Amino acid sequence: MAIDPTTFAILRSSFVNIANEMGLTLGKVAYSPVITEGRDFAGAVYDSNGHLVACGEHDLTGLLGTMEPTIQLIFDWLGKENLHEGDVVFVNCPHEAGSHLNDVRAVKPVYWEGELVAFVADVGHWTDIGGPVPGSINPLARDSYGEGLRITPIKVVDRGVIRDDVIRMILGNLRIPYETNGDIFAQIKALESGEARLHEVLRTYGADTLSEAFAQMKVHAAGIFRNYLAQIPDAEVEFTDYIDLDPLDLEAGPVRIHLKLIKSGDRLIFDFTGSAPAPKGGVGASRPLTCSGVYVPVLNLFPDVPFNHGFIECCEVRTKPGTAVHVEFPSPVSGAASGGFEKVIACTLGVLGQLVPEKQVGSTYNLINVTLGGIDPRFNKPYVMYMWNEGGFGGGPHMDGGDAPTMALFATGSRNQPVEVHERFYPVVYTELVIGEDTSGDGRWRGCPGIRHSYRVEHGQGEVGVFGDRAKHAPWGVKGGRAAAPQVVYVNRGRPDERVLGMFSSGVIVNEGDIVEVWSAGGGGYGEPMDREPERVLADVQSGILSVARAKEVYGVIVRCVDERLEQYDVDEKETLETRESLKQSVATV
Amino acid sequence: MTVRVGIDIGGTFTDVVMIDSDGNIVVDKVPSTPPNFANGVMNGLGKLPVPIEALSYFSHGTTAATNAIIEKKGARTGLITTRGFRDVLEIRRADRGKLYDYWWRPPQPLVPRPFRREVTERIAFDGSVLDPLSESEVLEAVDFLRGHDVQAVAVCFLNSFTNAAHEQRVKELIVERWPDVFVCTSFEILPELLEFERTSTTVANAYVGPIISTYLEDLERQLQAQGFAEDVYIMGSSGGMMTATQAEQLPVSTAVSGLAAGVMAGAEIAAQTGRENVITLDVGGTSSDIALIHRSTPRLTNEWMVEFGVPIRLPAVDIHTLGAGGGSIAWIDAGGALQVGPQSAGAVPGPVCYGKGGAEPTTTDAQLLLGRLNMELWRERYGWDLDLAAAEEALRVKIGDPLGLTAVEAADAILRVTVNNLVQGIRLVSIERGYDPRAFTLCPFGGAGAMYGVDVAEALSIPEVVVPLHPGVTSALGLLQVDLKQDLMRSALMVQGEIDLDLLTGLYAELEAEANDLLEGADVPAERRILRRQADVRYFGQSKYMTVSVPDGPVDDALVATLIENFSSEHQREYGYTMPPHIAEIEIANVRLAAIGQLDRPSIVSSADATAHGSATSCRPVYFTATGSVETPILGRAQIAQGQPVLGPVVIEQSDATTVVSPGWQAVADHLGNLIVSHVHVGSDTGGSHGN
Repeated sequence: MAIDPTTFAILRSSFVNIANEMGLTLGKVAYSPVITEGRDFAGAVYDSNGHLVACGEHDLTGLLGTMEPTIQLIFDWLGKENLHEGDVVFVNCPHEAGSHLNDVRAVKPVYWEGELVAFVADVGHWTDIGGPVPGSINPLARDSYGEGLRITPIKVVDRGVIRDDVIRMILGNLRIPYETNGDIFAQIKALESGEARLHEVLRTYGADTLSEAFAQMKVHAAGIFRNYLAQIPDAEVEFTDYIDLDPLDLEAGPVRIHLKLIKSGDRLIFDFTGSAPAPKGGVGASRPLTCSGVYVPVLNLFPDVPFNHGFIECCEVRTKPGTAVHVEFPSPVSGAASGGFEKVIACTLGVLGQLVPEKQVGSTYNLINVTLGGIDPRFNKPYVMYMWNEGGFGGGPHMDGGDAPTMALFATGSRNQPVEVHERFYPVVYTELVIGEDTSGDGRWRGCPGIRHSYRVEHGQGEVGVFGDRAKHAPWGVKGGRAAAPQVVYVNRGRPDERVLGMFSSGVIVNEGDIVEVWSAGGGGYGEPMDREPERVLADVQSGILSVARAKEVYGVIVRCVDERLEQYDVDEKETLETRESLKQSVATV
Repeated sequence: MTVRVGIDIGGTFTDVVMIDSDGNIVVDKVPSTPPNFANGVMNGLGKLPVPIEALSYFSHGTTAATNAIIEKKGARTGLITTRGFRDVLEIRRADRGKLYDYWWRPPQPLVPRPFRREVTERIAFDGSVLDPLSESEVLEAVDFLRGHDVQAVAVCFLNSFTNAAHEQRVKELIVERWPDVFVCTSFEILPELLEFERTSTTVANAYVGPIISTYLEDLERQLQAQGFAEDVYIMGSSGGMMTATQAEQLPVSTAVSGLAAGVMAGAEIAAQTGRENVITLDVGGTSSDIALIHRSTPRLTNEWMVEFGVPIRLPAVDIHTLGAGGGSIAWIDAGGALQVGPQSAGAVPGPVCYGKGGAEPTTTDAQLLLGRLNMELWRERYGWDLDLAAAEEALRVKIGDPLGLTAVEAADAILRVTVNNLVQGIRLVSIERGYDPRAFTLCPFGGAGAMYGVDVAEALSIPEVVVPLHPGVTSALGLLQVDLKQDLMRSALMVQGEIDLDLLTGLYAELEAEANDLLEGADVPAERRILRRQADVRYFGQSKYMTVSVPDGPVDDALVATLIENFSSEHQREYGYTMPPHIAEIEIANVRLAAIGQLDRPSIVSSADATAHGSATSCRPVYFTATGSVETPILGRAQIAQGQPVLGPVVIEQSDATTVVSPGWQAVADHLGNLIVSHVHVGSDTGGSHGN
């Protein structure tokens, strides 16, 4: 029996709000800045079969694909019949149900009149999950054991009783137990609020209406998405991208990620089976993370589709176990986010652009994780400074990628870390935070520029670690748009002792006075740079994101400084016409 | 006889409230006159029964600062900042305003990149100087900005909250050479850790500075020309009045001016009627604003943003705004579900029933079809008719038919969804912050608040609703019911165990001296000054802090202990836990001082007549979800007597609002003219005896 439309409208927004409340409670109550500032959290509501009904509107979107496998793993591991009212199960298990070990899920079955009616879950990124390196992102790990603590599904709360022994065992393996203790508490508390809200709904509407509303949630989401798909012709398109290298097998060359998209009626099939075997180093993605990498760009390009099981059923993701997009236990995965995951996102943007030309965009930049660790001699205390960076999005039809770098496509709610906070906690002095000149992919619609974070080591000796990508395979452009400048990390750039760290480094020693520079990429361009209006090129020169030389070389636009004191420029129209003409000639003759 | 006037300037209407010393009250509404809002103020004053020269107190609320920022119509502004960091303003915290939207773009920064000038200087985290200030570079920067006819300059250096010498020197250099430019430093505006938020706030202050000065000078000139000789007061974001002089120095602290006035009116009603805990619900045409008052004190926040990516990190009344109002459009999404808002038909074309070209059914159309709006009253007031048939047609065709509902059922569905949206908003400011709404009174106002108040209260198990005397001009009334207040702060950054009591004493002394100067400047005599200490406290390593109260008296170990105790109990209430001391140390991030100057408050004489009788002069069918359409008595507001409750269902009408009292609720007037609507305790859910 169908639910009446008014009740559905009310319950639909209630379910989304329940998921929101859980995520926000976690984001607020948690102790660690990765959750409160990085906003690396998510909340979800499921039906009694573990099918996703609603998730939060403020969550880290990179966690989407991990939601359903989490419940499945709990069924497989503990058995659905062994769950009870008042239980809370914790799990990470990136290969089966997650992204990397740091993302820890908490799941609570919800009962009404003795019957299992729903699940609520939340996810938080724990700053440290043990293993040999602080922060647990370890590019040199040969396997999962070398990355940190694997938490297979375990009851941390058993029928309402908190199991101190289990919590102590977990905390006993981690570097910052006080912080994680606060996070565990926050995760349990957020689930309690979700359960209480569902109980309120059940009190008013009863279990039958709840389950009808759950079913209708899926129909509703699928309806909105299929409405988009109905306007797109059937087709088959392909795209290939590469992880620069396998950090544990440099001879092997770039790691190929290949995607074939089949649009057939009201379904999309994302076929990754042509991708390379799993690399030895931890840059490949688990299958749940690959699914996230598909869902995130799809939801970005087709806005307002609710994310739940109804949507998931419209998007089939095909992967082959043991490949770079379906890494199996115990292969390492701690560098998956900046490696395979970002390439899956790029490939998905690439195929969707071919399928729907008005949604075609250049690639985004790529996440770079940079750590600086050591002993701060002022306090004789160890520290780990972790930095995730901003970068540019690609240009698209009728729109530049933007002027100001932002967070990655899968972490759009995350915030960067203030310079003043870092300087207070770590022995560094920042020397610049700059939007990079000539870093965006040129085009009729250019990409957004990238960014440069630079800091000087002020006290003691430290070790730098870099886990990123796209030093070789820069963010690509489309339809004649150029690739953005590649990413790079330097120590002491321009000095005789300059070192180029590339995107995969570990244990690089830096001393007092050394300057570390992190250069992120911009986004790829869209369309021929020569077709860009001279006024836009002038505006980019005026604001300092494009050099006069590059304006001439790539865009064929001659920009002159007309007032040095006031830094004013104009375009030499006649010379621009001539330059563009001759550039076109030389292209034609090549 | 003293006559006091409060004026709330909105984008469309300027609301006027006058109260004389006998407690008589006059209310009016005149059209606003953008961009010269002072003209609308003068028009409103001109319609009062007393001449302007007879006024003894004038205060107003304005959205001028917020509008300038949103519409990018502020002053041409420059920024002088530390070498290497001019892009802090543009990079922001790098978060994106929409989770899933590749095409989302951040707002353009208030200072374009070429006008962000870098100079050599560097202060370390502890206030020590790493690089001295290059004065020659400052002069070059000034020369450049002057050459571009900049009208305002913001100065913000890294770590300046620990050592303001460089910022202060730059200001001196500018004031000496360029006296007619508006200049402010981050240390004056917000001496606090976090470079982006500090820069954003300082830049916003510079950006609106010349605009607010021009506006206030214009207003003062016009008032003086008509013989008004008193100070002009303006509502500040944190719920206190500022003098015009204070507002010109810290213009950005008027950003939440108008909204704060409504919340303060709610707080005043709470105080006057002995209700400590109130949730205010201001329902306008396009949006609703919700705020929470706990123990007679509105919650403040410093996380407020003018728009996404433009934070103003000064204390402001914590208001949650929803896209749900009288003009909110009901629609069916591509998945077949009913949605209401956030799109609004606004005032133009407006709801379908206005007959001005609106084709999409709105919540107002639904209210009309269900019998809640009085068409005759409308005609009397506005001189034109509402088109009921057009509203019914739109509800049936656009909502009813696709969902298999009649027009009336569709209208009921729309209102229930709208009530649910408002309920979700109230949950956010109450339950999610550790407050139980059942312990609160709901205070609905604004044009449409009283139509929804009872249904919202019912859904949240809030037992009581207080509808103010004049719901349509509540904010303007609030302007006459607050004290002078300004919020001062200093960065402290002291960790438990290493708290330097001398330093802390010095910081509070510094703030107290500054507060006394400010109050002196506003002619507040010593006996009417209140200095309220506060501190921002957190667990060391966390980024967010909570503002807690700090006792008066000597700054000693006992005071610090109280401060920590206050923090722990607030943390427990809001987040549900505290950290044991051996695990997490407590840090004092900032010290604060609210400088309050008590102002006289008028008393209002109730217009509710004790001899009024609650018998209805008319009836009409009104639809309620629980009962369907029932013949419902219609009463004028003045017919509701003190001490003689009227049982719902009943609709209570007045010129600026309609109060809908559902079955199971009753309404009565109190001695101040507020309408108290409460749940009748005979329902099955009260656990009491049935029907007795």
